[in-house]
Parts: sequence; structure tokens; C-alpha cells
Amino acid sequence: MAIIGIDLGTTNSTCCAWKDNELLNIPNALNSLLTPSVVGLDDDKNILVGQIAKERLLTHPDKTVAVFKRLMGSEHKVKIASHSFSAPELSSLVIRSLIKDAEAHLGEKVTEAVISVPAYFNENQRAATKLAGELAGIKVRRLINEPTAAAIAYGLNKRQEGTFLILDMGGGTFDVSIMEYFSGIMEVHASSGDNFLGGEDFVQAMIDHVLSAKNVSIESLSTTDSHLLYLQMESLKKRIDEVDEEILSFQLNGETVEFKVDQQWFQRVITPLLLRVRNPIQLALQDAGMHAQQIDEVILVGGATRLKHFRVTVAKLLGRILSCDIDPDIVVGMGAGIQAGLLVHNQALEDVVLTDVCPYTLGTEVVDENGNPGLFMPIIERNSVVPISIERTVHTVRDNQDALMIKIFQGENRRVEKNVFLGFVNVPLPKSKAGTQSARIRYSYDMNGLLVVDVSVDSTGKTFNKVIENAPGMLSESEKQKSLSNLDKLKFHPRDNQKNAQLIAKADRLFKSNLGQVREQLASAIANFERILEAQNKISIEKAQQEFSNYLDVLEKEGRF
Amino acid sequence: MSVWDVLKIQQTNEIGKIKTAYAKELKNCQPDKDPEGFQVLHQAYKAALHLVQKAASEVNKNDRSQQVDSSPTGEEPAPQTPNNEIERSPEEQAYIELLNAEYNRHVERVTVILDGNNTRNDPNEWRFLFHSDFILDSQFNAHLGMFVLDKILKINNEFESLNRHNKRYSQPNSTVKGSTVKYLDGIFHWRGQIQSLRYFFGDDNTIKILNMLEGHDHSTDTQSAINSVKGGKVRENKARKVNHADQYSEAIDALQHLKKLTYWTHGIGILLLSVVMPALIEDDNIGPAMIIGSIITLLIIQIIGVTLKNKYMLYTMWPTSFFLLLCFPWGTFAGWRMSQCLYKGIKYFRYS
Repeated sequence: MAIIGIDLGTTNSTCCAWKDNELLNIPNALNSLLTPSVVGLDDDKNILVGQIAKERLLTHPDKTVAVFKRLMGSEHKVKIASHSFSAPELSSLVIRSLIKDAEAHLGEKVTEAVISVPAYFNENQRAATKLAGELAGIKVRRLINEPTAAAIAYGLNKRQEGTFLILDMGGGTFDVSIMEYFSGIMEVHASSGDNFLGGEDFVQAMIDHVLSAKNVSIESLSTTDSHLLYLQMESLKKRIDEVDEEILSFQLNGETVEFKVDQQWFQRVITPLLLRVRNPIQLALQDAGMHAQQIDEVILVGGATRLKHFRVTVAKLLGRILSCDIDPDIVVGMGAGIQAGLLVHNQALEDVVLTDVCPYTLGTEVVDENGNPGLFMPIIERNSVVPISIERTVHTVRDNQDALMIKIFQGENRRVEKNVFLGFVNVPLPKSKAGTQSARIRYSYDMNGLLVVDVSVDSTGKTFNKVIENAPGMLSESEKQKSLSNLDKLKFHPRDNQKNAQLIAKADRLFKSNLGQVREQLASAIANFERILEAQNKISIEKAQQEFSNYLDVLEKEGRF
Repeated sequence: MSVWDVLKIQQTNEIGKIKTAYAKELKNCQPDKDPEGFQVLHQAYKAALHLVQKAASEVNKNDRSQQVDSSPTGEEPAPQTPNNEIERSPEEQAYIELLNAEYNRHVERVTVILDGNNTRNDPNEWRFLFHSDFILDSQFNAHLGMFVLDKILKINNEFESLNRHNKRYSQPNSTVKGSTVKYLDGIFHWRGQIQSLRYFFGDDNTIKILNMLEGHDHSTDTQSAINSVKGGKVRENKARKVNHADQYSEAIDALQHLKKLTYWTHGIGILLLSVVMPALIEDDNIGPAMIIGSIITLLIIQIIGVTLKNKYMLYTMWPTSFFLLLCFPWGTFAGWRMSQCLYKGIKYFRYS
């Protein structure tokens, strides 16, 4: 009966547990702390999650899917092989795989979890994340904001008091949070962000630039070519700090094309994205009522903050040195793990209280001065401390109006159609002249991001309430059970031979992307490795595994993908 | 109860004391256990901090007003050229010269784009700014941004001052459109600089600018999400959520209509049939009398169904509306209206 903290990322996921008064990082079957958030099906319809699936993205693009976190909260589905999955279902497969790792590592059953979400996720996306946890068969005790989790990991590690600005740029999202830690209180002052700014977008910008320079449209490219280009750009992004000048060559529609890249090229390509970094930082400072000088420390979280260009831009913007002592890839997972410990009231953490904010404005639709519907009336302003409960009064606008349709929206736009719709309450009213009937709308928002709307009609005293827990269009209880049993039927690839499967998948990928001599060498190496595996001699398998893995690493270091 | 009572301390001007008191009280009403108590405490804490800051800034103001005569604080931002006469190292000097030269070059290019009717609303013309080497320099960015905005306002205000005749016969791209300003906001981020906008352009112009720059539009997010998925095949399902609310209120209206319509048609039907009934019974036509009797019962059941909003009783109205359709001309109209209302009204049960 254990509770774990899960960082469910766009590109990578991690998990941590709090056990015996200390934090445990949980490695996966391949002995790595990071599990790529990639899901696939193998030829026997077994589920593959993590590095193996990532390798197969090139060789089996129709049976593998990545970067699906951005679909959370929408109704789109992804088809891989013959199965069709929604984003919460795909995420639940990643969570299942993390739980299996945790159970193997802790030696006990995992029943509950704390899952981290980007601070700038809206209600629908949060509900989808919670659903993902439930579809993995666990109880989601709390959703924690990623920057908050990172701050917990930092604050409680160092026990240093002060005000922190946390910049969290992961694979797909950019979050900014300002928080203060004093006398055992962790208070979030403001959160802001951009849900479409992350490492994946840098790679995409590079690809777009190369293609437009070569006058090739992305649609005309074969899947293999575009994935290869993707892999090449991803690896270039990772080592860009060491690259002076380099000539890349790749296949575009059957032609071998060369392209020169250098620091200046990279800088130019990503400038539009770096420009978008300023906006949320300024907004967060403004909402917290602070100046950049009042911040004691700037903390970097998330893999994409490793990028030198990002650091330089932010350092210039804020005029200070940045700090990043904990591995930015796993710090969120650690924070989630600590939060899990807090929830079961672990003694070492007893004296810490956490207060958070809700990052979006919540409101309802009203008519404007000309009587046209569609105007957004804020009720709970963004960056209010939660839990919070606020009441506003509305009046009827037409004679003999017999009902009020209260639509609940979330967002910052003046018009409701550009905000996110969460749900509605319909309230019957006694008929009367326009403006004489009124109703009080109360929004209550709790720490778990649960919104409750109470409406009371003044003249009759009747009250109506609605819990906006799961947005409409999500799953009903029976649908949830059905989906859960479908997912239970899926078989996971066995944990113990994951290492071998991953090596073969990687070799297949290298085989597909290379030509000529390297290809022949690879073919014989794969055949050799498979022969040793069939012989089932443990010692020789371990030796061969090591050699084969070294061989593939050397190939990759030579710049072959 | 004053804020100091809630925090259980004497009135103070020390932020440290307020924080300690807040921390102490917070342990007694943790947000997840006592949400209402927490909200009161947190509001008191914020109010106390606000009072202290306000007091501090007033003290400052008094200080400053005494100093004004001796030293006029010259914090006027220099808007046009990033050129300050302070001693600098040769490298810095060189960089600043380069920056100035680049600034002038950018200004020239921007002026050309804005002056051309065909170019000013074309994103392709503006794209070079996104990839400019100096645009990340915050001073460069801010100055160029103010220059561009100034120019845009001049063009748009000039157009507005034209008389109606000239407005009508002017060229299509005589003004800088909101979409262009929004696009450029991605570079200069004017929305975050409302204070300086008001300082440079006045309140009226600032409102004009802000009207063109609305907040984030969530409706465009979904497409970007689909584009970024790697592998697999995304099957797009339209978000039906907002429709739900509209369909629900439509269904309620439809049910209201249906009620009125049913009262009329069924009322008339029952009247007519009950006139025929006694005649049939007198003639000993038991068969037809039974049929008419059961039809009357059915109509009464349907009236009850419409009044009580019962799903299953409503379903029996489909054949009724079909038979009505056959009774040309009035029945056809009523039957058609009834089936329409039924179709919309049945959706009510899906959401209630």
C-alpha cells in the first residue's frame, strides 16, 4: 500500500516515492530514471511504453505515438495499429508502466498517486489527467502544479527562505510561478505560462526552417524521411552548445540534401520562440505585484532549460544568475513524491503548509450593454489563492424570462467563445419584468482544482448546485469502467526482457536510417545478437548485451541516427 | 473584526511580524481542512501587508516631496535612441554603435513596410523581425516597438479623421488591421507594457491598442495540439461541449412549445372524439367505440406525459404526430411542428 508521485511529462515521465522518511527515485526496467512518454503496440499486440516505443517511432510510425499530452482535455483520439485511444488512455498506459516499475522497486502494491500537471493546464485538461490516473487503476490523491512541485523539492531540500521565480520549460509546456517560502509555509503568489512552448517546439522550428530553406513542404515528405529529420534535429538541439559549424545531410524525397548549421543559424531559428518566454514572466510578476529585483532566486526546471540560448535570454531579461542544482529532468517528480509524503502526513514533513493559486480566471457568460450574449464576466480572478469562494449577482434581461442558463467558462478573453467551456447550470425562475429577478452565483474552487457552482434565486430562495468535476463530454461512470476493463485486457511487454527488446528496436531504427556498409554491419550484428538470445545462456547474453549496446552507442556518437 | 484581530497581533508596521503571525495561525486552519477559515485568514494577511506597504509608500512620498526642490529626479525614459553618454569599454561601445546602426536600418525597413498599402498587413513582410539578431535585446526591442506602434497609431488616426466619402473610396489596406497588430504583439509584447503605453500615447490611444489586442484565444489551441502529435493517426472529434449547453436550452424551449401544441391538438381531438363516442355506443358499434376509447386514453396519457416531462410517455407522440401529418391542411402543420419540437425536446433527457 504505497503512494507515489508521478511527473507525467510531454516527452519524459518519472516517478518517486516517499519511504522511511526519505525520497526514493524509482528507475525503470532499463535502469533509467526517465521513461519517454511514448506508447506503441508490438507485432503481438503487446503494449510498449518508454524507450522501446521511442526507438520504434521511426520503424513503426503507424503503431507508435508520442507528444500526446497536448491532446489532453480534447475529444480527439489517436489510432495506433487497429486500436483507437484517447489521450487519457494513452497517459494511463504510461502511468501503468511507471506503477509496475515502482511496485518492482518498492516491493509493495501502489494504490494511490500524486500526479503533476503544468500550472497553466485548464480544468478540462486537469480532469483528463485525473481520469488517466483512474484508468491506470489508482486513486489520484492530488494534482500538483509542476512548478510548485519543483519548488517543494528545492525549498525542502535546502530549507532556504525567500522568494523564488520558477521557470519550468519541459517538452511541451512553459510554466512560470512565483513563490515564497517562510516559516514552513510554501505560498504560491502567481502562476502563468504558455501551453505551446517547449522543447518539441524548438525541434519543430528547426525542421520548418530547414524545409522552407529547401523549398519542401512537410506534407510531401514520407513519414520515414520526416521522422529521420526529426531525430537528427532533436540530437542537434541536444548538443547545440558544442556545435560550432556542421554540415548535416539527409534524405528529402529521395534526394540527399546537405545543410549547413551553426550557432547563429540556431539562434535565428529559435528567436521567435524565445520572444514568447518574456510574456508569461512579466504577467506573473505583474499579478504577484513584484519587481524582478524582489526575487531572491531564479530556479530552472525541465529539460529544455538546459539550452544555453534560453538561459542567456532569461538571465538578460531578469538581470541575474540562474540556479539549477537539482537535475531539471527529475525535480518535478521529486516534488510530487514529497507531496505524496505530505499527504500521508509523514513525520519528517509535518510542519509544512502549501498554498497554491488558480492560474485562470473563472467566470460566466452575460449579455453586453446592447443585449447581445457572449460577454465574459469574471467571478474568480486569476491567481487568487485557493481554496476560494466568491459570489456575484446577476439579473434577468428579458420580460417574462423563465430561466437562467449559467454557462461556466475559464480563460482571459473578453468573449466567451474564445475561452474554455467547462459546464452549465440551468435555473428556472418565476416570470417577471426584466431586471426584477436576480440570482446569486457562487463559485467555490478547492485545493484539488474542483469547482462547485451554487446558484440561489433571490425571490424564491431555491438553490441549485453543480460540481464541475468532469467536464461534459468526458466519460460517465459506466464508460469509465468499460475503458478500464479494455485497458486491463491489454498485455504489457514483459519487464524482464525489456533491455534486449530495446536494443533490437534501436538497432532496427539505425538499420532503417543508414545505408551501405554500416547497414550490412548492423544486419550481421543484429543476427548475431538474436542467435545468442535464442541460446538462452545467461552469462553470454549479458556479455553480448553489453557489447551490442556499446556498439550502438558508438554508432550514434558518430552522428548516425 | 479587524485584520489584526484575525491575525491575533497588535497593529504593526513590520512585515516580519505579520508573516510570523500568519504562519502561526495557518497551522491551525490549513487550507485543505478548513477552507473558509483559511480564506478569512489569507484575506486578513494580504490586507495587513497591503496596509503596511501603503503606509511605507506614503512615508516615501513625503520624503520625496521634501527633496523635490533640491534634486529633480530625472527618470524620464529616452524613447527614440538607445544612446547614453556614459563611459564604456571599447567592446561595449562597438556593440552599442552596431546596435544603433541596426536600429536605424530596422526603422527604415519598418517605415517602408508601414507606408506601403500592400505591405503593411502582410505577415510575410514582417517575418524578418522575428528572426532579427537584435530583437532579443530588451532595449532595442522596446524602442523599436514604441516606434512601430507610434507609426501605426498615426496611420490609423489619420484614416479615422477622413470624412465619410474619402473613407468609402479609400484603398482596402489603408489602416493597419487588428490581426497585424496582434501578430506584431508577438514580437514587442505591448500588452505587458500598459504603463508605458499610457505614458507615451495617452489613455485614448492605449484603449485603442488594447482593443486590438485581446487575450489568448483558446479556440486555436486544439489545432496546434493535433499538429504536434508524433506517430499514430489523430482522429479528430469536434468539441461538442458548448453545443450541449445550447442544445439543452433549446430542448427546454422546444418542450414548452410542445406542451402548448399538445394541449391544443389533443384537446380538440378529445372533444371531437367524445362527441362521436355516445353516437357509436348507441348504435351498438362496440368495436369502433373501443378503438376511439383507447385513442382518447392515449391522448390523455400524452397530455400527462408532456406536463410531467416523462421520457417514455413522450416517445408515444411520434406516431401521433405522424397521423396528424396526414390530416391536411391544419393537421399537417401541427404534426410537422410537433415532430420538430419532439426531436429537439427529447435531447433534454440526455443532459438533465
